Amino acid sequence: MIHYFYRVKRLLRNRILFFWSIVFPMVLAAFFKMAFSSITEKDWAFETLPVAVAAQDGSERDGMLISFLEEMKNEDTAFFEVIEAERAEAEKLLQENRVMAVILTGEETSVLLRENGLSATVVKTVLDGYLQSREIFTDAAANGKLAEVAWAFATEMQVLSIKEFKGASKDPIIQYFQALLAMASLYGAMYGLLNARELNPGLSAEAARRIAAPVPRLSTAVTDLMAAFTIQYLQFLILIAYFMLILRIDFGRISGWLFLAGAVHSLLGVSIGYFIGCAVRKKPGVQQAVMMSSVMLSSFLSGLMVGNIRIEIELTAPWLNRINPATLIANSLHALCIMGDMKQYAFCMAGMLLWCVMLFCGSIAALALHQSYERRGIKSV
Amino acid sequence: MRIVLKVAKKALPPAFIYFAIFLVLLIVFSQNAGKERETVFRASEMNLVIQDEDAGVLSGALCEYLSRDNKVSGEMDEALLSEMLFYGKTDYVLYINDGFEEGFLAGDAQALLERQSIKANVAFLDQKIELFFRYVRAELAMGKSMEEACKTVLSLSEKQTETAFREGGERSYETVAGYYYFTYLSYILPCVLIMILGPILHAFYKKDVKMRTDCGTVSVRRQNLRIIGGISLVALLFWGLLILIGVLLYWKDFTVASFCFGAGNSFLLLLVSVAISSTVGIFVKGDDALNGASNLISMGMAFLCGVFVPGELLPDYVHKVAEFLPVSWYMKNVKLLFEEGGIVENSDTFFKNGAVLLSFAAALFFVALAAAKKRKVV
Amino acid sequence: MSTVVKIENLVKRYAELVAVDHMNLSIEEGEVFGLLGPNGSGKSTIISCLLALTHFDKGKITVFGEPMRADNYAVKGRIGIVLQNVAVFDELTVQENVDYFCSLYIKDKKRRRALVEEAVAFVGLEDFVKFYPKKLSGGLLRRLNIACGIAHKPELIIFDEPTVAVDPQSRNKILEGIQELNRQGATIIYTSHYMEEVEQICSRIAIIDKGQTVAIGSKEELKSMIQTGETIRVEVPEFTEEMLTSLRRLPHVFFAEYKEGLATVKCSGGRHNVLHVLEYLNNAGVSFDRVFAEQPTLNDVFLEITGRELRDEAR
Repeated sequence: MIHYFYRVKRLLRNRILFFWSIVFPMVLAAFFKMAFSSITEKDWAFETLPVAVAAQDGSERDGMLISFLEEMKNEDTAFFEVIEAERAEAEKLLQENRVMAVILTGEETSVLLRENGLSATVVKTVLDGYLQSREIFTDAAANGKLAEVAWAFATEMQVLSIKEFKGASKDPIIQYFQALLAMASLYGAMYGLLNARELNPGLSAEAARRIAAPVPRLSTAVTDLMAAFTIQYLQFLILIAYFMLILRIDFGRISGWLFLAGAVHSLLGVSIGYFIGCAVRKKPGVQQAVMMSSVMLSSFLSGLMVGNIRIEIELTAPWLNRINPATLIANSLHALCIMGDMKQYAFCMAGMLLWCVMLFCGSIAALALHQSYERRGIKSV
Repeated sequence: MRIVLKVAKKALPPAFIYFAIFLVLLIVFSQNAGKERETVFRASEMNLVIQDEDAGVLSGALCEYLSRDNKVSGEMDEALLSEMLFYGKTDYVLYINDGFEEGFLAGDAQALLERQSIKANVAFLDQKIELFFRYVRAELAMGKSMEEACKTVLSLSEKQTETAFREGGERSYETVAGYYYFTYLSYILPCVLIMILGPILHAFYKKDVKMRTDCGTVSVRRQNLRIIGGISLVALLFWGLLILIGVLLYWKDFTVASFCFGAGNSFLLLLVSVAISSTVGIFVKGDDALNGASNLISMGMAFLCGVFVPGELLPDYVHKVAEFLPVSWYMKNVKLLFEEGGIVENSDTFFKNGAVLLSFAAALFFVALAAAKKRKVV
Repeated sequence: MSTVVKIENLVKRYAELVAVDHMNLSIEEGEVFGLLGPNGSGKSTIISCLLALTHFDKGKITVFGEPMRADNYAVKGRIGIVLQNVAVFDELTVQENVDYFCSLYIKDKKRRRALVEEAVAFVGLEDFVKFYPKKLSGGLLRRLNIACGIAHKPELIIFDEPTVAVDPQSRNKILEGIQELNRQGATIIYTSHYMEEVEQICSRIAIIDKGQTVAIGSKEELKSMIQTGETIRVEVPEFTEEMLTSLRRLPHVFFAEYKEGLATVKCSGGRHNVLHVLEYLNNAGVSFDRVFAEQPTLNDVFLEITGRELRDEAR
């Protein structure tokens, strides 16, 4: 027990480790929060569009169109804010960007637009609808079937029903924070790396001293692992609390499974570092560079810097998403908290545990390989 | 000079990681080039997925009706579909359930046609679909068969409103791959330079080395010149490498003028980055700490200045904050060159932004010098 | 007296390099046993094998009468080590470091507290218990390094070059400490390439070169192994070949030469050698300046056996 506490103390007091595992993710999260806070709102919001309606030269005011436009609603929010104006005045409004389109009524309805885009598409789609409806009525009148058509139009029959998105959050920005959490978990590799260094007598003097002591190597390894795991898990809890309570990020549904996931993430991070520490028998600087590059690359592929990279990979090379540790971490959070997809969650968890087992075996194999090299007289350090 | 390169070489492996990320970013994003960026609202086509279980005449007609103005994909795995919706790859999913056509004819289509989306701005599609059924109902009321009704409605939908753009109106520029190249350059330059130049400064200003060189025959002035020369050399080598990559990968995307001005703009950013690196190198000791500072500064600026996230999408207060960061001025120029009509239309603004960048570099150099004096290292 | 360490036919190879070549050693209880050899002679490798930190190719190592294996915890518990590189944790204070390493050996908390206190006092770090290693000077750090290795009162303590890059004052303190530990009953193995230190504290010495024991014994025994018993140097302005021949005829003298105003005479044992030489010079009417008489050093031993100097660029 005392070994465990000293190990925790030793790891916890290291300032560099502290920076990377806590401070860096926190500061980065604050940047994310600032950069992303209004993206979805600007991007996907339903906005009432200001349009001007003007009669073409020598035409009457088209009252039917105006009321058609004004009645278009999406859950009590009007599609358009209709401004009736003279043609010249309407065009001036358009020039000044105060309306996004000018609808010219008359023999043929036409529309004057400011620029391409979704708003323009909305206006045009609605106008097309109006035009096509009028066509039907004209057609019906010609065939003497006006009553039937009027009946068909008057019947309030909603065909389309809305299926709610099952995700707990509709905000894809959350993926950045998931990737950030994945990166922070993978930074647990630093603790693993240190553990490996300090239990390989070829790599450090501390290790020689610890190995020379009458404590089984495995027991020291397990104690070290537990200490690193404890800190990493603590860090996970702190980050989750910081995200939710201070940055007020909607992480989705929070359940006990999240805390299980955090445990596996922590274990995965520490294992990666341990493996690198055993397999790359080089100076600390080189080991750290290998570790950092693995972590950053993995995090990048899980969407730390560029969003939507996970879905792009899913569409082009799905196998990469199944094996990339950071993606497994991020996806386990995504499946659990956002989608509520327990199958996917279990899949990610299994993937991570498999990684842990492989890394553990890999570490042992690397040690054995090193010893056999040594026995055969190949100096690997 | 040899010492400088030697120290720089030591800092290379970690810097290489970020270089690799930069290359991956480039390759991933230049594939998107030519198409419009999704985050900028020029897309008028919506990405639809229709899960048609009914596969009747009516549902077939609906599919065709929608596919005229939108990109419609067929059946997709349900789990993947949720992801596509969440990440915004799909805007709108339409589920046509089994027995829909019968239900429609019987006047009760409750829950037989469902749509799913996480965006509020797709409401016009709802309207469009409802209208389609209204037309069909009207045609049926006129005594037509389902096939005939659908056919009529589809031909009807060819009737469209005339559109025109206001004078001097539509300005739509395609994003070339080169845009991404110059964009991500603003992340990689400060990131790698801080990592490489920091250790060089440290090496020179280490107490003993400092004392030894002070006692040596080289004057303080010449020493400083040597350091500055060494740093400039490394910075120029790195910048040259990046420009070379730009030429090799994206030459076809550039006009000579756009590339030259882009490179000039990046050279100004190089000066700023060297100034930042010097300041950081003097304040921050230790390679690990330097690595941290490099990440914080380069990533922080990249996020706040619209490198990773398009600037139009950032909240206004971030824009205000970003005014105080050099990268945002660099990005303004990149936009001028590649998104807003090029150098001919914007030369005044371009040079003005360049001047701002230059003054950033000068100010930061002064900070570095002052800090160095205070710490008695120069 | 019983044998504490017995090394038989130990062989350890690194690629083509044979680091330890059929080494035989036997260390008795209560000894301060010195392993002396130049850098790269295989001293540290022997220690690594002895502690079961590395595998070896051939041979047998017995410690406290039991074969030494990585999992022989009973034996390991009786050994203490102080290595060349300082092996302490920067994040733990002096007290915590000693306590941590002691805890690897001693489970009982109360007993450990007493032992830690004793070890800290032994190396004279009482005033620094709350300090972090980074705040300690080089000498103090070495002392902490020692405290960590000896706190559990081991019966066998291995010092692997504990004085490399240590100032003379701290070095003396360390050497005195080692002798004190020996007086308290610990058997000591001391490796170094500083022959003065080895001469000063070791009761028995093995001289190692290229992974082999070239000589073993007490320092007197070692010195008696070689022909040189005493080297006498006399500053003489002029000297003839005849005089040299006469000098060589003196009792015990086996070597005489004259070079650049210095006559060098080597004698094998015997007493009054200086007197004999001076008498001769006096009688021959040779005027001479200063006279030096030197007892043989371990360097002479090494030189005579291997033909190379022991001293190297270190120090």
